[in-house]
Amino acid sequence: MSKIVKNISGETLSIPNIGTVEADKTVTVPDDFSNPNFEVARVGKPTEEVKEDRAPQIKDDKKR
Amino acid sequence: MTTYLSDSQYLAIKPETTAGTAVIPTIFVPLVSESVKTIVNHTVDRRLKGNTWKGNTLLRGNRMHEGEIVILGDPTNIGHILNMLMKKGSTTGDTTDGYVHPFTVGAGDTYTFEISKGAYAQRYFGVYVEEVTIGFVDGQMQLTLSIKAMGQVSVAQLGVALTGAGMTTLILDDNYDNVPNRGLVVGDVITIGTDDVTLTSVNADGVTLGFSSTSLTHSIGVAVNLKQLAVSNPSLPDPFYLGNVLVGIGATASAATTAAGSRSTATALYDLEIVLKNNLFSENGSSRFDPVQIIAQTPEALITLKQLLSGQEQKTAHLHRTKQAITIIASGKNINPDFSTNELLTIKFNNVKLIESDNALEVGELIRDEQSFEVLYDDGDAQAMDVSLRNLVAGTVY
Repeated sequence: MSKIVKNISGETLSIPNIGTVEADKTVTVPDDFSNPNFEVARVGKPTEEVKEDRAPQIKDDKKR
Repeated sequence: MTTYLSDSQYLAIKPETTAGTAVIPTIFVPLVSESVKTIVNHTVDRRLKGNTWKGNTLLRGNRMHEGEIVILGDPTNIGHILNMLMKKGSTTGDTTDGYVHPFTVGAGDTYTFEISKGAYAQRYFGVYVEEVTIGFVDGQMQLTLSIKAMGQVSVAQLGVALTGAGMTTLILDDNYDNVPNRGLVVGDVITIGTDDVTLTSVNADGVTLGFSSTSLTHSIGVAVNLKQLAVSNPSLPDPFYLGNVLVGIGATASAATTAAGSRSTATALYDLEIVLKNNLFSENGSSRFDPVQIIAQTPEALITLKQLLSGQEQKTAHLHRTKQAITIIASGKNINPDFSTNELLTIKFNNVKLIESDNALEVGELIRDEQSFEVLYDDGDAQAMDVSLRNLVAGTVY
C-alpha cells in the first residue's frame, strides 16, 4: 500500500529514496511513511506508473 | 540478523513551547556524530538474603540524560544552537535580504531532540546546551554540543494485554518509570510488536495512550517503541569556512569590529576555537528519577587561537592583564540576488584578557602566539558578548 502526502512545511524538502517535494505539493510515499512536515492527502493503492519505475510522483493539488 | 547503518539515521529537533514538554521534531539536522545516552545508575541489590553471590538483581537509580552531538556550523543550524545557548531578540529582515537574529547572554529555549537509532527512535525532551565548542576541522566550522535533557522516551513494554477488535487504548508497564508515557505526544506513531498506531491522546495517568479504534492482539510484555520518522531535508547551506572568517582584535569592541571589517585590517589566524559554556544546574531530587529541573547558572567563554608572533604587544598584554576585544565575522553565500547581503555570523567579545600566551621555539618554524583568552564582562559596554546571525530562516522557526 502507498499513500499520497502533502508537503506542509512551507519549503522544498528532499526525501531520501523518494525525491524532492516543493512546498504544498504532494508525493506518493509508502504506507508507513511518517513525517510531521507532511500530511496525508489520500490513502490508496500505488498507480501502475509508480509500480513500474518507482519514480517520484509529484502532483499539484490545485491541478487535480 | 538485522543490521543498521549510522548513515541512515537522523537527528531531528524543534524548540519547545514549555521547557520539558516534548514536541514532535520537524527540523532535520545532519549529524557528524553523537553519543547522547541515558545514564540509568542501576546498582546491585546488596540486601542480605542468604545468598553467597554479590546480588541477584539491580535496583533503580536516579537518571541523567547527557552526551555530545557534533554537527557542522552552517548558517541555518547554528541558529538553533545559539537559540538554545543564548537569548534571542527580535528578528528583522526578510527573504530578500535575509533574516537577522540577535542573540545576547541569557536563557535560551529548550528543545526536543529525536535521534534515530536503527531499531527505534530515541527522543530526549527538555534538552539544554551545557557547552558549545565552535571550532574548525578541515577549514569547516564544526559545533560540538554538550547537552543535558530532562527525560527520554524510546522503548517500553505493554502492561496490559490487547485483546482484538475495537482497541482504543494501551497501557505501558512501569518497569522504567511510573510515568512511562512522558515525552510522547499526540500525533506520534508508536509500534506495538509489528503494528503501528497514531496517538490521539497521552493520558494524564502517566501510563495510558489513546488511538483510533483498531484491532490489536498483543500479550503483556510485547515491545512498544516510538516509530522513527521518515527523513526530510531542506536545502542545506554550506558550513561557514575558516577561509571566510575575519577576526578583528582591538582595544575596544568598536575597534575590533572595525578591524574585522576587511582583510587588510583583520588578524590572520591559523587556528581558532571558541568555547561557550552555560554551567547548567542539573540535579536529581524528589518527584522524578530524571532531573527535576535544569537551570543555566553563570555563563563563561574561552577563546583559543594561534597567530604569528609579530611584536611584543601580546606578551605585554598577557603580563599586564590588558583588556582587548575580539570580533569574529564569518560570511557565507550571498542572499540578495544582487549580492548586497550574504549569510553572516558576527560574534563580539567586548573584554578579553590573556590567561595563556606562549611563544614556543621549534626548529625551522616561525614563532607563534598561542593564546587563550578568558572572556570577561565589560563594565563600560555592560555586556560580555553578543552574536548576530543573518540567514534565510524566519525568526518564527526559532
